[in-house]
Amino acid sequence: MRGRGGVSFDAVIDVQNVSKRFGGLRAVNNCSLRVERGSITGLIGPNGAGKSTLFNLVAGNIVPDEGRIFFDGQDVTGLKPHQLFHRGMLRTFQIAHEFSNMTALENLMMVPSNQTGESLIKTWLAPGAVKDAERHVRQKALDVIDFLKLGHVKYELAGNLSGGQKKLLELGRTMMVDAKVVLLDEVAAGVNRTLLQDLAANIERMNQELGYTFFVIEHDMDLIGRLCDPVIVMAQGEKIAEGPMEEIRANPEIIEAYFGAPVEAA
Amino acid sequence: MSVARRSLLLFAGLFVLFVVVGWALGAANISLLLVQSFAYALVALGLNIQWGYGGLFNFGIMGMLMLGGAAVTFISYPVNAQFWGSEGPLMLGKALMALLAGFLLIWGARRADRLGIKGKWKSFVTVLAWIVAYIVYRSQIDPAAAYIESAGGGWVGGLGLHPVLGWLFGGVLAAGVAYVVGKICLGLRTDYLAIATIGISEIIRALLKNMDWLTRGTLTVSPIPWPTPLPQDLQAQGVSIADSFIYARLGFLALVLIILAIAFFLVQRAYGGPWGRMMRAIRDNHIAAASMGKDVTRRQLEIFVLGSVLMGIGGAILVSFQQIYDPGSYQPINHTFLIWVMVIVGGAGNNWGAVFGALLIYITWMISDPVAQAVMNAISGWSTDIGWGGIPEIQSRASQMRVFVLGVVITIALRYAPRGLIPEVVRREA
Ligand SMILES: Nc1ncnc2c1ncn2[C@@H]1O[C@H](COP(=O)(O)OP(=O)(O)OP(=O)(O)O)[C@@H](O)[C@H]1O
Ligand SMILES: [Mg+2]
Repeated sequence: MRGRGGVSFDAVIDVQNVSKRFGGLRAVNNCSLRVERGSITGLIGPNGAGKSTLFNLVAGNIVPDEGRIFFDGQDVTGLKPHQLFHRGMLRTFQIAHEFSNMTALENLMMVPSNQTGESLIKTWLAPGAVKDAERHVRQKALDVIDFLKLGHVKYELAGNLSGGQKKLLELGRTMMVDAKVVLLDEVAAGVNRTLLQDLAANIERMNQELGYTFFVIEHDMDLIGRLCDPVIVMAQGEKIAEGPMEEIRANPEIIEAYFGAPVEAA
Repeated sequence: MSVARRSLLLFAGLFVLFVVVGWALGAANISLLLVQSFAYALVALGLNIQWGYGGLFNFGIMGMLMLGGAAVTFISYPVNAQFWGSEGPLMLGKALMALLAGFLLIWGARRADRLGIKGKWKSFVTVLAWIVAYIVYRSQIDPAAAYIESAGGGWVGGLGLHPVLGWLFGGVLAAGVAYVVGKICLGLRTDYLAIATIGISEIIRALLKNMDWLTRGTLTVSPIPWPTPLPQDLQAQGVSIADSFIYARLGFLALVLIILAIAFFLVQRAYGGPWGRMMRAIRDNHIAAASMGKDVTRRQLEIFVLGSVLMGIGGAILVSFQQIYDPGSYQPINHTFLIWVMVIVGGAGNNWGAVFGALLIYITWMISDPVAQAVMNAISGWSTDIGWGGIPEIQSRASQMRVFVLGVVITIALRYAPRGLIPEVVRREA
């Protein structure tokens, strides 16, 4: 079922002719694109191209004005974010959406769904079962937090973390549960280089070993070049190109769209 | 100073305040204040769940208290034999059938699209169904109400069951109404809930005040029985009149304390576990919580209903204790605003704070009238002595002072302890 360009293309996300307007502004304009199962697909484009808006549409945070969105072969247009989460779609936000009055550890521990202790009845009648489940969740969260090298701030309120640390926490939340697709919106912005290498390695590992599909918005072309194949380019709400990073880099039209002016060959 | 130490000191101070007030007003009065303030603590706990944990505005607490009161009146008041022997029950049964039929009609109209009726026509059919349902219901309930009020025993009376059953029913009734209101309003924005709750509580008041066949309306119902021995019962056993009031009220107080303790334990356990963590996440950032798989609307509904249950029970307890159900006596300032002050001053998001606030504010509210009167009398006497003349109409002036004192208390509290006297504790070890 693999192989780009062939008939056997297996799209886990399939966006068909989707548009979203904010007032008079067409943030996403009749956009169609597909993300292949098992890929790490990049999404690049100038500021305001509509990348984050597209993520919001795919993850159910906003509903498209026109067009349909398919996830895993099913029409999910109009589904709520929590419903998509349960189907295996996880996301991070470009502007960190941490739970600011909760500790970093709690930020992670809240993620797993259908926790025993989320039911009032079980909380009241089966405290033992809740405690057991809680121990597992906590261990998992501690593992993630160690991996992200946030161990020293695990009891700090998330609202007090630095910008980069909040970004890491965003990423950490997606690592708390098994996902099919993870949407990463500029997760590397503000994260230090060394950790970035770790993150990239881990994204590749989760992709290869666990079969996660990643859909990644990034402005860091080196990172995109290292991680992503294919790369989709958006400008003014539309997809203008798709292909391996080398091709994209070599395409003068894209360079123009991206930088607003043709770049002289150095 | 750690929060635990501070809370301990505050509760100790509160204890001293109650002792001083008790010494000044007498044991019978302070036992009365204690019962009422602990019943209010239950209501404050309910608001703390809604506002402190859930960030939901409920400005219709009065309505929940009234529902609780109506519930316990209906369950525990003695049976009205004249009503049950008349045509009344049959006519009410028909009205109930009409109501159900009306709901079925509306439910059907909302699904008219299955019959191919769409868009504007569907709206038209739905509106028509509402009108028809209303007319059908009124055609049955109006004669039933008129009959009961004139020939059918005046009103339906009660069921003569145990008052504690009535308290539980108060919780159930409040939960039911909260569910419907929340279901309609919570999907939108939480500010709409605030507006809706004001409206709903006024509607509940208008209904209960005017449905004479059900609640006797402004005629009031009394005496509503106690779950524990009444002073009269104790007197019959030879206890002196003065002591009988104290012991009877202490007996009632014990029951209220048991219920408060159970509610407190359950709420505290829920808040300390994953459920509370999820609720705090929703309150902090509902967009992120939704993206992390939490069904925000459903959880907010859960929290709204749970809080309302405690309000319904608290309202029922208050009515039982006062032995009179007077729908005309409910005022937003006494039954909604007061509770908000309790939770804000006590500390939203902290159950100990909510209970503390309830006790402190209730006693402040109750003693500010006599204290103001005493102060004004003293000033008036002094100004008369030096020839400036006394203060006129001290009595009515003093009773206005309650609201003033409450305003001062909340202003000072918000200035010096904006998060409440016993604020929410941010837990540091997960
Ligand atoms: N909620 C909103 N209301 C109004 N306009 C919006 C909203 N969200 C996005 N926009 C507009 O839509 C356009 C696309 O925004 P979007 O955030 O998708 O860009 P982006 O490609 O993610 O850019 P960047 O690389 O800077 O993050 C922008 O012009 C933005 O102002
Ligand atoms: Mg963006």
